[in-house]
Amino acid sequence: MLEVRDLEKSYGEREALRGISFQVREGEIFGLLGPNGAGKTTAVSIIATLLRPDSGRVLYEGRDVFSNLKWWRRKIGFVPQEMAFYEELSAMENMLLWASFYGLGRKEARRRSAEILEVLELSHRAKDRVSTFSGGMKRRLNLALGIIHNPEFLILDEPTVGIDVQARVYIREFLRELASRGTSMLYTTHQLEEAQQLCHRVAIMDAGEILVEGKVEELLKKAEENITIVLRGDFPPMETLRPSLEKFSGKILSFSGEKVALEVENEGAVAGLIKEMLEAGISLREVDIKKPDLEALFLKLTGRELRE
Amino acid sequence: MRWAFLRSIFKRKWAKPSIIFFFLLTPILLSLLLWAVFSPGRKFQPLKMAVINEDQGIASRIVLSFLSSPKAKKWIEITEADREQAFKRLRENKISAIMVFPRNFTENYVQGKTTTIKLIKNPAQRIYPEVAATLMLGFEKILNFLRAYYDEEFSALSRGEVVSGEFLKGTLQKTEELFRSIASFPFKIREEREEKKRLSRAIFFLSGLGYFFMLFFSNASITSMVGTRERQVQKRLFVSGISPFQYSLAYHLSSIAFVFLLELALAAAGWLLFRPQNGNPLTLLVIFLLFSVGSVSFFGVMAGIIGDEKKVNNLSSFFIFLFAILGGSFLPLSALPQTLRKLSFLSLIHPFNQATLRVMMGKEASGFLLHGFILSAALFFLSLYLNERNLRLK
Repeated sequence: MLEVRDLEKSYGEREALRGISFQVREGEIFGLLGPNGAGKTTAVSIIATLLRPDSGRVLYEGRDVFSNLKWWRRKIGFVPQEMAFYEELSAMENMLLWASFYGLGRKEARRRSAEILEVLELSHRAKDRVSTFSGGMKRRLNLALGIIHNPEFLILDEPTVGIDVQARVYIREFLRELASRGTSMLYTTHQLEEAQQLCHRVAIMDAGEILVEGKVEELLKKAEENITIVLRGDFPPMETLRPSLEKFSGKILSFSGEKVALEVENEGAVAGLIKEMLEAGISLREVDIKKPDLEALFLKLTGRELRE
Repeated sequence: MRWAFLRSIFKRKWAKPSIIFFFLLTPILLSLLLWAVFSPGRKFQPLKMAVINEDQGIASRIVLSFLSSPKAKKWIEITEADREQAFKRLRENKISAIMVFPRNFTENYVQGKTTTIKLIKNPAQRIYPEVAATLMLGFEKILNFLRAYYDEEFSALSRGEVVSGEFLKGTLQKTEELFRSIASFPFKIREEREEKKRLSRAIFFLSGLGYFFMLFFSNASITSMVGTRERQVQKRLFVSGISPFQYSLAYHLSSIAFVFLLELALAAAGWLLFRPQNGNPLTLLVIFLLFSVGSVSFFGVMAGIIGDEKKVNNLSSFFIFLFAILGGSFLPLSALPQTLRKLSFLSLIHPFNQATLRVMMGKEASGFLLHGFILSAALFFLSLYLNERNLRLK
C-alpha cells in the first residue's frame, strides 16, 4: 500500500502542495482529479521521486521511498505526461533500452517488449522510428515503456492527454486489465469522465489541496444531492441579483458579471429562477444544467468548472 | 557505465545524416575552392635575358637557336643586343640577366678547351637571375658533353676537314633534346614549390574551417542535454535507475565520440584530396580527440550554467565565431592585428589548429598539445560536474 502523508511543496512563493494525504491500496486505481495547476503533477513527481517534498512523507509497504530510493524505483513504473522516449530510435529499440535499465536479460527483454507492443497494437511498427508514429501510437508507446519491467505500482500522469477517443478508450481498457492482475495505480487526470470510468477511488484536488476523497460512487452520490447549474449572460451587480438568486437557490457557488454557478434543490426551482431572471430583463445566453457527476461535484466544491 | 544508454545516445546523433553530410562537406568544398582560387596553376613569367654574342660561331648559334625556338619560349625570352643596349635593359630592370658568349667561344669549344658562358645577373631581382645561372651551368655541361660525345667529328672540324651533314644534324637534334629537358627543370622546381604552397594553404583552410564547423557539431551535440525533449526523457530515465552522474557522463562521452568521428571523416577526406606529405597520423588523432573533448565540454559548461538549450545556442554562435577569428580559422594569425593576436590564447580552436598546422608542416607541436590537453581536461570535468549537479534530485 502507498501512503502519502501531509506532502507540502513550494516553488518560491507559490505553494504547489499544501499538505495532501491519501492512500492507494493494492490492485487499486486511484485517481487524482483536478484542473491544470491543481498540484497533481507535483504530487506525482514527488511520489515518483523526481522531486523532494518540503515536508511530509511517502511510504510504500511502510518504508519511506526517499530513504529506499533504489528499492522504490525498481517497484514503480512511471508514465509521464510528456512523451518520454527517443523519437530517433524505433519502438523496439526504446523498449530494449528501458528494459536494460531494469536489468532484464536480452532474451527476456525481447520477449517482454514484443509481448507489450503486441498487446498495445504496436508490433507492426516495432521497427519503425518513433518519429513517424501518430499521436495515439506515441501515447501507447509511452505507456508501454512504463510497464516493460512489470512494475508493482504504476504512476500515470495524464497518460491520455491530446489523443483521440479511440486511443483513449484503448488505453483505459488496457489499464483496467493491468489492475485486474494486481498492479496498483496512481492516475492523474483533469478529465472527469476518465476518472469516473477507470478509477476505484478518486481525490479531487484544487490549488494544492485535496477537496474530497472517496469511492467514485460515493462522490457521485454527493453530486446528486442537489442540481448544479451554470448560467451565462449579462448580469447586474450581485446586490441587485442576490434576492432572486436566493429565492430559488440553495447555494450560490460563484458569481461574475457574465457567469453564475448555483446549487438548487429541484428542477422546479431551476425553471422559476430562469423565468424570474428573464422577467427582470436579464439577457441569458446559456443555461447549463450539470449532470450529477464529478464535474458537478468539483463545481460545488470550488465554484469553478474543471476546464477553467 | 550504462553502455546501452551511451550507445542509444550515440545512435540518436546520427538521426539526420543528410544534415551531417552537408555540414561536413562545407569545409571540404570551401578549402577546395580556396585551393583552386589561390594561384590555380599560376604560370611563371618567362625568364627574360639579353644575349651579347661576341662569338657568332657555331657553338653559340646552337645554344641561341634552341633558346629562340618556340618550345623554349615557354620559359625563356631572349633578345640579342649589343653591350650598350643590353646593359641599358638590365639597368631598367627589364631583363633578369645578360648572357655573354665570349669572342673565342666556338673556337675554344671545337678545339676541346673549356668553354664558359658569361652571365651578368640583375642585382635588383632575386629568383630569376639564379634560375638563369642554373640554366647557364646546364648549357655549359651539355655543350661539354656533346664535345666529348662527338670528339672525332669536332677534332676533324678543328683541323679544317669537311664533316658529314649527318653529324651536324645529329648534333643539333641532341642539343635540342638536352636543352629542352634542362631548360624546364628550374621552372618545374619552382612550380612544385608553388604547388606545395597551395597545398599548405588548402590544408590551413581545411584545418581552420574544420575546427570551426566542428564547434557547431559539438554545440548541437551536447546542448541537446538541456533541451525540452531531453528533459522529458530525463524524468523517466532517473525513475528507471539512471543516476544523474551516469546520464551526464554518457551524454558527454557519446557527444565526444560523435564529434571525434566527424573530425576523422573530415581529416580522411582532406587527406585523400590533398595528399599531404607530412603529418603524423597518431599525433593528429590525439589532437582531434583532445579537441572533441574540449569543444564538447566547453558547450557542456555553457549548458550547465545556463540550463536552457535555446539560450545556450544563441550565445554559442557568438563564441564560435569569436573562437574561429582568434583561432586563425579564417585568416592566418599573422594577418590579425597585434591586439587580437595576443588574445588568440583565449580561443578554443587556437591550440588545436596550431598543433594541426605544425604537425602538417612536419614541425613539433608539444606546446600546443599540452595547452589543448589542460584546457580540454579542465573543461571536461567542469562540464561533468555542473551538469550532474543540475540534474540531482531537488
